[in-house]
Amino acid sequence: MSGSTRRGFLARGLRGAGLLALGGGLACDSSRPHAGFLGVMERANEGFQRALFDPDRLAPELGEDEETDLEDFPKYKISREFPVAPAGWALAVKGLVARPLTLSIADLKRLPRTRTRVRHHCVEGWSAVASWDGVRLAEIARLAGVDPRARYVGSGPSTPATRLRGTRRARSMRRRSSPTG
Amino acid sequence: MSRPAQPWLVRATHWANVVLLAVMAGSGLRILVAYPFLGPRGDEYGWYPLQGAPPPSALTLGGWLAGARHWHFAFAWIFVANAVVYVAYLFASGEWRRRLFFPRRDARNAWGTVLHDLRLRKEAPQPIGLYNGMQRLTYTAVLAMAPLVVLSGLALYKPVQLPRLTAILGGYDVARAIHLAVLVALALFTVVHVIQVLLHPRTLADMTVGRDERPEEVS
Repeated sequence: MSGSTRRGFLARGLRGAGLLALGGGLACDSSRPHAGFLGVMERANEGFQRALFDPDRLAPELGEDEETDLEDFPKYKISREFPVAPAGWALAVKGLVARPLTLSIADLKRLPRTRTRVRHHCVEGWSAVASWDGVRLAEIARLAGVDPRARYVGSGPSTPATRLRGTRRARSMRRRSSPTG
Repeated sequence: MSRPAQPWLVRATHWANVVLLAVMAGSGLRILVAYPFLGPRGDEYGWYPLQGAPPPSALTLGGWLAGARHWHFAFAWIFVANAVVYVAYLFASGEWRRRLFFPRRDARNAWGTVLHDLRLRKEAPQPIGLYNGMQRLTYTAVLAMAPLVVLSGLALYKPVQLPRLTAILGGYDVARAIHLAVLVALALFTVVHVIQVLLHPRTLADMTVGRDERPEEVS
């Protein structure tokens, strides 16, 4: 048996073992990674990350010559052009915050803008350098008075204008050729 | 004095490692499926022959990217814990003396073993105690891969929070290539290791049920 077949066999065996242990509380179920043993270790990893993370340590600013060509980015976008927000669009900030906010485009434009060029490390394993421009998420969090217990930020549509989700981000990726942000 | 060829802690950590490395390799390959290229986007490495070729699904574990990442990050800690137990035992017990490669003792013997295996020399050098020189060199090299795979893995895990480590390794994308190269090296080692064990079944008994070291059997 070659090493690779053996590994495949072991992997199948482990998958089987994980399914057998289902309901035992210590299961490793790939489709439910927050439960069982995988979930226990996910929370252990969160503890490790909290100990490791220094909020003041940011990705280093890079030069324009290091920017990755736009064509080399994966195409997850819904259109080639920047989506335009519909009339009356607003960003609602809610959850574990002292001051729930509803920010219109005009409100967002009045907030301090930031521009940064950093290497992005994707969970998929690739890395690429892009320029980002817009309002810092930290600024919105400060305005809303985020509860220190809050651990995640989620984003999603709350109006039927789902096609325009891209504009909801506090930061948006700039096109290299575009002089305005 | 007779002591086991493979003390129980060595046996336990060895077989735990078989399972742990299988989980790490399978889940790691499933993560690689999400982006089966090496090198930064737009500047992929020319030397990597498998650009764009995802690993076969039979070798992968975790089902999907998030599932595989959860397996990988869960079992990484157990792999590290197992390695720490092994290394602590290695040094506390004095086992390191008969297991690790020391050039003055083992280099000539290792070279003689290579010549014998290549049929360039008739007589095989006698093992020095538990292993011959080439075994010590190989096992020591494999042990040295563990810190390399863990450190490159940490750089991939948090490249921004661990900037010095990432820089020492040559950056995020180089760390990723190193991480995969160690897997390839371990896979090659595993193939040769299994062949050698099949050729010398006595060693399998040593590593499972455990038997005393009997130098007279070594010939």
